[in-house]
Amino acid sequence: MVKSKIAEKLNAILIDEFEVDPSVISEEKNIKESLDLDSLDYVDLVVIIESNFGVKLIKEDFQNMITFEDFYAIVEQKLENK
Amino acid sequence: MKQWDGRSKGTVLGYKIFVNVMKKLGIKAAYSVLIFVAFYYFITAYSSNKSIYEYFRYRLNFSVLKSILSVYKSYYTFGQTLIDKTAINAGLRNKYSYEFDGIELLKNLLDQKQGGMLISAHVGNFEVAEHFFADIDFDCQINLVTTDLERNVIKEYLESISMKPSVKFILIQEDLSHIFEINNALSRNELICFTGDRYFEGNKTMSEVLLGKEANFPAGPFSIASRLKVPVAFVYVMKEKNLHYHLYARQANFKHRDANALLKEFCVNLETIVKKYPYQWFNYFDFWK
Repeated sequence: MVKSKIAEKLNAILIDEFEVDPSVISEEKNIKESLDLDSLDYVDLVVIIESNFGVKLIKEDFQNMITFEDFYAIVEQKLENK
Repeated sequence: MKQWDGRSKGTVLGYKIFVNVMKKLGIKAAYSVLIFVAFYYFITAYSSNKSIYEYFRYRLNFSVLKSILSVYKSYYTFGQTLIDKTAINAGLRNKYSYEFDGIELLKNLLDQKQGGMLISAHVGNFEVAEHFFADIDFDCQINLVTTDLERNVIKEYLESISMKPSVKFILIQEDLSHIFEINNALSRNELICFTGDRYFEGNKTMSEVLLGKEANFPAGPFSIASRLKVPVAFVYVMKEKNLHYHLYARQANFKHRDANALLKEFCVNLETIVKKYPYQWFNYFDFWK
């Protein structure tokens, strides 16, 4: 799956799951602040990725995940290594 | 105290005295020490006194005199639950009796092989549940999700004298490792337990009416439980007369992703328990601010 398709699918899932306006999502924005994630919301994020893409996020992935673009890149890399 | 400050009352020395009295003289003797300890808090803990007095007076509509006396009784009952927890962990489980109300529900929940979420509150004595579960062929690991703030020297001391590990703690950490611990526990068909009645500064909150007045609750447990597609139950372990405990489990029925409906149901359920056991409400801060 190419990066733009991954981003499109991820955005749709995030908008639906976290009930946010599509305008809050853009590549350079901070994902935590934009989605108003608190420490327990990340549990959802892990489950969502696993059930929709069949890949598992690990602890280290979150250390490098600041923006939406980082998030797309992490999922893309996981899919490549699948 | 405007909200829970994340610290439990008491000192390690106080707990050591209790443990020694209990081991040498028995549980009832340890209870008798509480007469003085509860009185000490009754005359010195102004902030807690005010909060718990208002709970009895305005939320439960007790008379002024009954509310004042109830403050003392609340401290005494809280002390009893701490002694019981310590006694059971220290191997005195056989001194206690218990009854279950809804254990089939928990068994059915685990039969679904998805793990499960339990939502409890700071009422009664949930941490002794696992010792009673072991007696009825309900051998399941319970993981209590909590924060660093609740881990303190008192708990470390109590754990150091425990005969076996009881409830496992999943600590909410900055590095988000708790996410993976929660997911891994669910995939092992274990139970994840949240307390649904306390939040910390910076946590997202939701509001709902409890005992006739709106209060804030942590959003996380209700949000996760309503989204994860795992069975959810409300559980409480309540102390009764003598050394007897009553365990309650109730199925939570709510629409997927409807965290507000889940919170509302929790409040209705919690209200029933609190009205039945008014002295076992252990939130000594301004809950309804």
